[in-house]
Amino acid sequence: MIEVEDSRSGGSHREQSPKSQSLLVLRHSAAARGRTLGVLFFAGGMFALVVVAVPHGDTMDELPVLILALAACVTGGALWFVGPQFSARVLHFTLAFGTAEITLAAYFSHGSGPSVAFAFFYTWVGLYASLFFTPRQAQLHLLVCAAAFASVLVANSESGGPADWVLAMGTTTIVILVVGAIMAELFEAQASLVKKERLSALGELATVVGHELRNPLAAAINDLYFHRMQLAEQVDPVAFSAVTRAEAQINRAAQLSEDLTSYMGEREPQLTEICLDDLIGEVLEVVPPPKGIDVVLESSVPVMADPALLLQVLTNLVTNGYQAMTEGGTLKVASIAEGGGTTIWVEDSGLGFDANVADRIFDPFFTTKDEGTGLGLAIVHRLVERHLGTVTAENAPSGGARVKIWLPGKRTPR
Amino acid sequence: MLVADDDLAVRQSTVRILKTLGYVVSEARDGEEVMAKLLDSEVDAVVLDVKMPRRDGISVIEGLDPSPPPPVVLLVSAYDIERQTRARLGTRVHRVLRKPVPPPILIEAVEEAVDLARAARAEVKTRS
Repeated sequence: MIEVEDSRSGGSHREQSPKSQSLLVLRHSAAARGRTLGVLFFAGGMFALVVVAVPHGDTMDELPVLILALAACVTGGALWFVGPQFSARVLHFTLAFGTAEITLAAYFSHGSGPSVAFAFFYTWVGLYASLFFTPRQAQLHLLVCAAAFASVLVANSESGGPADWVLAMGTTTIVILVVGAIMAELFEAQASLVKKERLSALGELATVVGHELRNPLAAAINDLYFHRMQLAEQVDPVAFSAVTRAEAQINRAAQLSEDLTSYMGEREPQLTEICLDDLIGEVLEVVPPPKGIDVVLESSVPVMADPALLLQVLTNLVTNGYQAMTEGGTLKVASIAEGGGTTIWVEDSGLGFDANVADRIFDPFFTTKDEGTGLGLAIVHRLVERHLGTVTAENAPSGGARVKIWLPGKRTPR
Repeated sequence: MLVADDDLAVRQSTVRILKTLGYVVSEARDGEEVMAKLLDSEVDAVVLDVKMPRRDGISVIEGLDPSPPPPVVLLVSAYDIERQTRARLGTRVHRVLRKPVPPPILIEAVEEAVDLARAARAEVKTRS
């Protein structure tokens, strides 16, 4: 028996899909940033300790610098080792929070009067303004802000000596690093949002176009069928074969339009408890079994799903089953309660999956059929994923293909 | 037979196929025309589009008089029909077909619908 688990739903024993590879890159990227920030913090803290606090000897005068340097060392060390375990968001939040505290301590230790207010204003206005610029503009803006901030800190200090410069530059560096990290996160989030909106608009467009195509396609399909009926009577094999070919192509276009509409649909599932018997009845109304094929519902338990989306999933699986049994056979559908949800499987008595292609059957536009669009199982995968479920395919002991979907049960509100 | 669809090409191509098969077929462009034709003549089955101007297919079904056996309805739609709507219509709709309907499936559905309508009419006559 060939166990084929789809990697997008948590499989582990086959090559990673492009999607999981890109997730890996993202994690590496967050880890690398965490480690780099940790090293910078640690180095900055050590520099402040060695250059400023230790040589001056007067511990009480340099107490704020000492505390800040130690804090930077500890934070840096922690980030160096633990940072890679955090997600980018947690990392940025921690850094932003810690730095805000350190910056405030620096202001109140070494600043006084209107210049503190000016430094606050200049820095934070700069930070907010930088969010609305392109990354390059924002970096330049931040550098200007940082220089102004450092100058204000030094001018505000009593001595203007090396301790003040180190403190000013150290604080400024931390602010730049943190703001840079936050900005990167925000730009990333914005880019992701734009991409999501584009996909959503594309989905809406595909749905509208798909629906609007149905009428002209219906008319063309009807007319070609009519002409084929006429030509069959006139015994004109060449014309008959041309119309038959045209009919096959227009049917293919109709199927592609239908599949694209389903695949690009962005509707969120509206979950409700469904009786599988009723749903299978509706499926068989949409796709009645061809002659020679029996559909058997072996067992049935209620399932939590969006009725329209699950209808689409089962219609695709049942249609696939029909197509796999060209000589006739039995299509079994069953459901059982399992793992806090429901497992539904559809099993045909055809020849099963070819082991060489089994790991690609859920990929969009992958097909082994001459007439297939390659979207049927991709739609199944996408719709099941939208239910937070999983889908797997395997060859049943009888030799036919078996597709299993698992859908979570009722979710208790947190 | 009655074929109701606001799309001229779809309506005429469907009518052409059904006429070739020997059915007596009339046409309607919207729901109001369907209601008028059902009052004027005896119709066994209606191929009824859902989305039509003036009066849609769902409203037509809900307005059918159940006392004489109403025509058997084959509902055709380019859009998904809500589950609640489908449940509400119940047995008043014989089959729901999704556009574009492959002609062999339409023909099979029409044959079933006409048989059902004639059987229902015969039963009413027997009772009376």
